[in-house]
Amino acid sequence: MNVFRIISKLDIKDLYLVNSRLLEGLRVLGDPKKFIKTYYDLGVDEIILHDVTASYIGRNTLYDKLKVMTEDIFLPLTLGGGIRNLNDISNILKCGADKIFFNTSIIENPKFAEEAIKIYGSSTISANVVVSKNENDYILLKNHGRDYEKKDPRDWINFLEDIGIGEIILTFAHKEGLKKGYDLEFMNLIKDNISVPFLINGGASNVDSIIELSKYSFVSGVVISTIFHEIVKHNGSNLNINNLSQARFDNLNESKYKNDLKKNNIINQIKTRLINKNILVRN
Amino acid sequence: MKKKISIINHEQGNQLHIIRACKNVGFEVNVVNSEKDLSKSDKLILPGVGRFGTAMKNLKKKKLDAPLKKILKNNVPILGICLGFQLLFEISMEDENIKGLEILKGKFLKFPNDRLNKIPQIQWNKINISGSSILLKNIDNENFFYFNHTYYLDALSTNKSNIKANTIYNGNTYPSVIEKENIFGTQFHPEKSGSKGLSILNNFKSL
Repeated sequence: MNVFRIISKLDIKDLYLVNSRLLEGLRVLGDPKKFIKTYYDLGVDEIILHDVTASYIGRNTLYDKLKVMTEDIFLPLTLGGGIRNLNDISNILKCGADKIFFNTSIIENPKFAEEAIKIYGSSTISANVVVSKNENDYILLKNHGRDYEKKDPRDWINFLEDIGIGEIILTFAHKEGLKKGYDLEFMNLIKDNISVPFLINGGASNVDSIIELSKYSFVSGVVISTIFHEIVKHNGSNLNINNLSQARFDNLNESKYKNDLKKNNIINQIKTRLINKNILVRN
Repeated sequence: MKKKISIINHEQGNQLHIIRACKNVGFEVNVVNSEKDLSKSDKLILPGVGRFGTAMKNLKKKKLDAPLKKILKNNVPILGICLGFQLLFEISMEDENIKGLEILKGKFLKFPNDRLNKIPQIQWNKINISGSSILLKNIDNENFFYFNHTYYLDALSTNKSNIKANTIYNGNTYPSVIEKENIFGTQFHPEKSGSKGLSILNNFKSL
């Protein structure tokens, strides 16, 4: 029995929640703590935090703040971005994460991934596999999309499975933030070869796009950023994402906004649709 | 006056979440590192993520094992969580040669691994409530909780009347909540299971 997970991902830059398109053009949305609490109250199954600048500026600002950001959150938490050594992993776990994910550091040094799995166990170690499409080829990205690696992403996924990675987050960089759906062509290329828990990130446009993903039996869950953040910022709660308000989250009337969100809870909408399709979810 | 909870430190896994969750439901939290700390406790949590044998060795090293068994005979309530749940029993195949606290009868077996159902089981899973329970007051049947474990309690090895809920994974139905007088345990993590998880801690607080 596998439960399809609805996961909320928050990209953090300089301790602010940011949103991006195609991994670029960062826009500040506000205080991540408030968004995290909202997603927790609405019933997401898990929260992923991503320090999006740590990888190329070479330092991590998020670890210490993780404790504060998640102090009233009682859910599984995953953190990644700029993890370079075992000490980084140990620090993140101490600050309250259950799992870590990495990308750049294990592309550059695959032995590091093997070492981390040996010490912390598969259940703690996830990989973010960032894929983009270049003409007809799929390429593997690192440094939050700034560089690419001459590796077939499919071979890289196989390698990660072979060394015992606990979970893979597949990010479609060429779909990220566009709200136009996932790369189903790539999904079809890999669908028969996956044997680890597998999450899909980048491309969610509406409830239908998530239902479409859930048809792939190898997919364990969906990782959502843009559409959730926009809904929360918009003070609305359904998937009609036209006419987005520019009102800052901090300025909203919090109690009114919370009632609106609860009344027409987006997470419940997604889960109800999944249940109707006979997909098992936590409800 | 706030109710006090003492969290036993066996040096396996992070206690941040369980401490926060206990504070959230209104407990005053102490961490137990010695027999002296233990003697001041009126309610206990044995938490855990980690390895069965290592946790038992650490309890012995801190000279907590015998005093813990003694205090439990005096009806002090204890809640074992995940590894802490497993430690309440006799034996686990994870470390066959190291005995548990042997407060309850039972043996832990390893989940078989297959392509669809990986080990460890790390996921939200349902509990099927099978008996009246203080811990599960106001919890619906088939509610989901967060599990992260490789070994499960063999239902045949333990006293059936103590089983208050079961869970199914990999085709195995196994006890996920037990209660016997002052001894309580959950295989899942209430401190990671959202508001329903906090309800369980609250039920334990209300004892």
